[in-house]
Order: sequence, then C-alpha cells, then structure tokens
Amino acid sequence: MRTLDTLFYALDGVRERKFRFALNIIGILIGGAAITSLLAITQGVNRDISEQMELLGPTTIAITPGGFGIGGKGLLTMRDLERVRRIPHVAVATPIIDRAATVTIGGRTGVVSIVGIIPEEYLRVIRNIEVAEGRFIRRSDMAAAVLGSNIAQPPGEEEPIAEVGSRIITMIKTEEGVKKATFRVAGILEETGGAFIVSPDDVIYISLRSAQQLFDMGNEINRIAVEADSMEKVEYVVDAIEEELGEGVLVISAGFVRETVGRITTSLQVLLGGVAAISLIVAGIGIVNTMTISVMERTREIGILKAVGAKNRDILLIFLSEALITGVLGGALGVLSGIFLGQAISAIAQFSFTIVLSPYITPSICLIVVLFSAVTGVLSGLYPAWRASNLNPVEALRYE
Amino acid sequence: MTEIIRGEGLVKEYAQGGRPVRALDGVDLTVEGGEFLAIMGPSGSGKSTLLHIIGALDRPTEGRLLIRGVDLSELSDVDLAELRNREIGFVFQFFNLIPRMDALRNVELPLAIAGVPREERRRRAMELLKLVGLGDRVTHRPGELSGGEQQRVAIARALANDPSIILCDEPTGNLDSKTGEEVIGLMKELNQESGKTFIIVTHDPTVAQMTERILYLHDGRIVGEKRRGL
Repeated sequence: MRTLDTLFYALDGVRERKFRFALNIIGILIGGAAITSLLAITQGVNRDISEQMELLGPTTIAITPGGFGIGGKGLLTMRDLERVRRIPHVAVATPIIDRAATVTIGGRTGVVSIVGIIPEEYLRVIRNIEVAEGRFIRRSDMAAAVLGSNIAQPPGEEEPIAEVGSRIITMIKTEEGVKKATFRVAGILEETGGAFIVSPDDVIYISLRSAQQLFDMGNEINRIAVEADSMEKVEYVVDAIEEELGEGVLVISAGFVRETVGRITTSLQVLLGGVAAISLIVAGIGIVNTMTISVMERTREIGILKAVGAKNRDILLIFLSEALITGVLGGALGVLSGIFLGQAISAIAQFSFTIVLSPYITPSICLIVVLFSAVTGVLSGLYPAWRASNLNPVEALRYE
Repeated sequence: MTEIIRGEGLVKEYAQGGRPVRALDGVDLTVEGGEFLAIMGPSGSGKSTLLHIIGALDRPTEGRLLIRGVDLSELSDVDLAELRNREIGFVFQFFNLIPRMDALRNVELPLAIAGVPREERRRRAMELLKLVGLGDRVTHRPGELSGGEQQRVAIARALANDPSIILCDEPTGNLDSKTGEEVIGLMKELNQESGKTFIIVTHDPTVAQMTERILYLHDGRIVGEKRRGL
C-alpha cells in the first residue's frame, strides 16, 4: 500500500469515529498546551534576565556583604575597597552606598533607594546611564541629586513629578529622631530598562560623600563594583577578591549571574515541563484505550483487509497513522492553545501578583511540543496497532 | 486444461474449548484452471476451512497446497498476502464490504493495497462495477444496496486485481433464491468469458447443480465427487 493511501485510509477511519477522535485530540491538546505555556514562560523569564544582564559589561563584578541583594548583614569598608583595588587586573573598583530613605518629591512621599557613588568611577562600570536633562552628579556635589527615570516620572503618571532644579527632601530615622536633608535635582536620567541588581531607573543618585554624611556611614559602604581589565581575567579577579575579603562577602560576576539564572530556569523548565508531560502521558493512555476498543470493533474490517491481500505491515501502518494524526493534530492545537494559555497566565500573574512574565515562544518550543505529542501518539498506538496487524485473518473474518 | 490447485493430504487441526478438532482429515484434490467447482457438505464438514487454506488465509497443519506448482508452505506471510492480493479473490456469505466506503472504494481496496495509482484504480473499479451491472450505483454505500447488489460489489472487488482464482464461501447463503441464482449466473458468465477458476462452497443443492463438478465433504474428508453429464 502506498504511504499516501495508508494515510487516507487512516483518516477515513478517524472520520468514522469523530467523537472518540476529538476526545483523544483534546487529551493531547491539554498536555501540549500545558507544556507550551510553561516552556514559554520559563523561556521568557530567562530571556528577560539575560537581556538585563547584557546591559552590564561582561567584565563587571559586584561585591556585596553576605546575602544577595541590598542591605545584607555586615558592611564592607573603605579598607576592603583599598584591598580590592590592589588586586592585579582590577581596572576599576568603586564604592557604592545604597540605602533606603523616605523621600518627598513634588508633594509625593515614598521610600526610595538612594545610591551614593563616585560618579566618574561608577560610570566606567555601569555604562548604560545617560542623562536626559541637566547633568550627572559630580564627586564634589554635596546637595545635588540625579533622579532615575521612574523617580522623576513614576509609572502611571502622565507628567513628571520633578524636573531639573526641583527640591527633594529626604527623611531618615535615626536614634535621635528624624533627620531631614534637602537636595536639588541636578539631572534626570534616560530610562535604561534594567541593570545589575538595582535598576538606575528606580534610584536617586547622590555623591558618595553626601551619602556617607546623610546615612552617617563613617567609612562603611554597601557594595563595591569592580571592573576587570579583560574578560579572561574575570575569574581570576573573582577568586582573588574572595581570597582577599574572606567568607563574609558574595562576589558575583555577570557570567556567574547569567549561569545561575540559566541553571534555575533550566531546572524550572525541566520540573514544570515534566509535570506537564505527565498530562501528555495520561492522554497517551487514553489513546491506547480508545484504539484498543477501535481495533476490536474493526476486527472484521481487518479480516477483510487481510483477505484482499493487506500485509501485517499495511495494517500496522494504518493504525499507527491514526495515532500519528491524533498526536500531530493534538500537538499543533496544543501549541496554539499554549500560546494563548501563556498569555493568560502572564496576564493573571501581572494582575494578581504584579509579577511581569513575558512568555517567549520560539519555533523550537513549537517543534518540540508537536514532536513530543506525535511520539506520544505513535507510542500509544503501537500496542493496539500491533494487535490489529497480528490478528488471525480467519478468526477476524468470523468476528461478529 | 492445466492444473492450478493441488492439495495433498491436507489436515487442519485446531483447539476448540481445550480439545483438538480435526477440521480437515487428509484431503487430496486437484483443480484445473478455468473450472467451475462446488464444494458441498453439511455444516462443520470442513468446507470453509478447506476454502481458507486454498485461499492462503490459513495454513494446513499437515500436507501441502500448491498453486500453479508453488508450495504455499514455503512462502512467508508477506508472500501469502501478496498471493491473496493478486491471485485470489474472495466472495463471502455476508459480503464483507466495508460499510463506510462506497461501492467504488470497496472495489478499489485490493488495487490500493497492490499500490495501483489512484486514477488507474478508479478507472478499473468503474469498469468492474459496470461489468457486474452496478455502473449506476458506484457511489452507494453497502447499507444503501440490496443483498444481491452488495454481493455483486463483492464480486467486482474479488476481480479487482484480475486474479485467476475466485473463492466463494456460501455466496448465496444470505440471498433469496432468485437473487442467488442471478449471482451464480453472473459468476458462471465470468467463468466462461474470462476463464477464471471458481470454487464455490455451498450447502445449497440448486447452487451446486449449476456447477460442472461437485466435491462432497464430510467430517473433513472428501467422500464423493460428481461431474455434470457423468
């Protein structure tokens, strides 16, 4: 029998059992949709983080005390900074103070990150900062501040709430009571879209000296940003810093973060994909069941086919084609539904939990899901098809 | 005439409900090409079993069957399937058409299995349906045809690959006597015009009377033979 004729024959059989076929398709579709949406979401998370990573040079290294993130226990000191600066292949090592403060801007009050930096050093490390209006801060500024784009115009606001020259008031609780300070806006930054650990869009920059004074830091700092002189030396510098500063610090490079994120999203993908794959397996069992019934119902037809000269192989292929059609069609519909499902999940996540998920469908995801569904279909069809092909023709013809 | 089928010491045993049943008990027969032959006997005499073995649907437990001198026991299952496809046509008591397919597609089936291209297949099936007098019923499904018409479709299907042997298992068993006679008449016509060998298993004496030779089967043995005019 020609392949095309086998396929047509299989399609014919499918048409005769539309309802059952539709149920099988739905089974595969649900599995395929679950896999597609989950893969797309984890892929999206991976892509978003990778994109943010790209804003940072591949030679950048961040040193934070203890735990990941902001304000971990224990602080670094200017002495630590000096030790880092002496490490070979360190091109730049710059101190960063990063503290939260209650800030009043244009009549609005909120808690904002205030970042104290040495501007000319900082800009060599964080390279995507551009001034939209006014100027960036200078090392010697004591009452000037530069606002990130989201600070000058919070998301959802139609008009900026601050402009160059506006006054901002910071309030910090200390043991003696609330300490107030006033800064003048020297510049407003372009939107950057994200960065390493803290986005410049969401902070207020002031000079290191004014931050030390504002937060009464003495010679303590929150972070050190380091630039190695070449990509090849990043690992060496990371190791050297860890050795120099000991256990208490976390030294992370862009490569390290990218790798970690990749590892996390990959395991997430495997985990979620695995859970979704179970639904495909369940659908497969459904196919085994309905096809076995279908083979029984069609015993006589199989006998007829054999009597007019069909080989076992022809019959095997007819039933496997039915299973393949189920798998491919279910998988393709599953991919389409999965795309919508991914969008729906991200909409719900954004609405209910304000988590931004941007599902990312790649052709390879679609291909994998369709392929996986097809394989599930064929594997499920294997046993019933084998049974059909091995029926004794005489007994099959007698079957009532 | 040349010998087309030879059976030597054909024995068929199978287990039924745990005890062995000897459906054929040493059958010897020869059939010449172009014969129009009936096999008669009461039910359970082994008629159908013999027909299945001649039709390469089943293998004998003992003995051998030769078609055109080829010993079927030496052929693989694939070879047997090809033989059934090209050399043998079956006509059954219950027609055994595929209900979801129209007459044309039923007749096309052996051609499709043989790998004949679509156009060619369609043309040949049309021709055959005209031959059996159903040129105007080609798009009807079996359920929309009378018993006699269904059996004609089955005959057309049996002729599809132009086989030399047509095996009929109680072909009139499900038809009224007038229609039955018409069907046998059609077979006889085909036999005379194309020289195809027909073996008809029946327990209907009127059908058997229309053939040239009758073999009588009882308890798995050939117990008698009658030639017309003898």
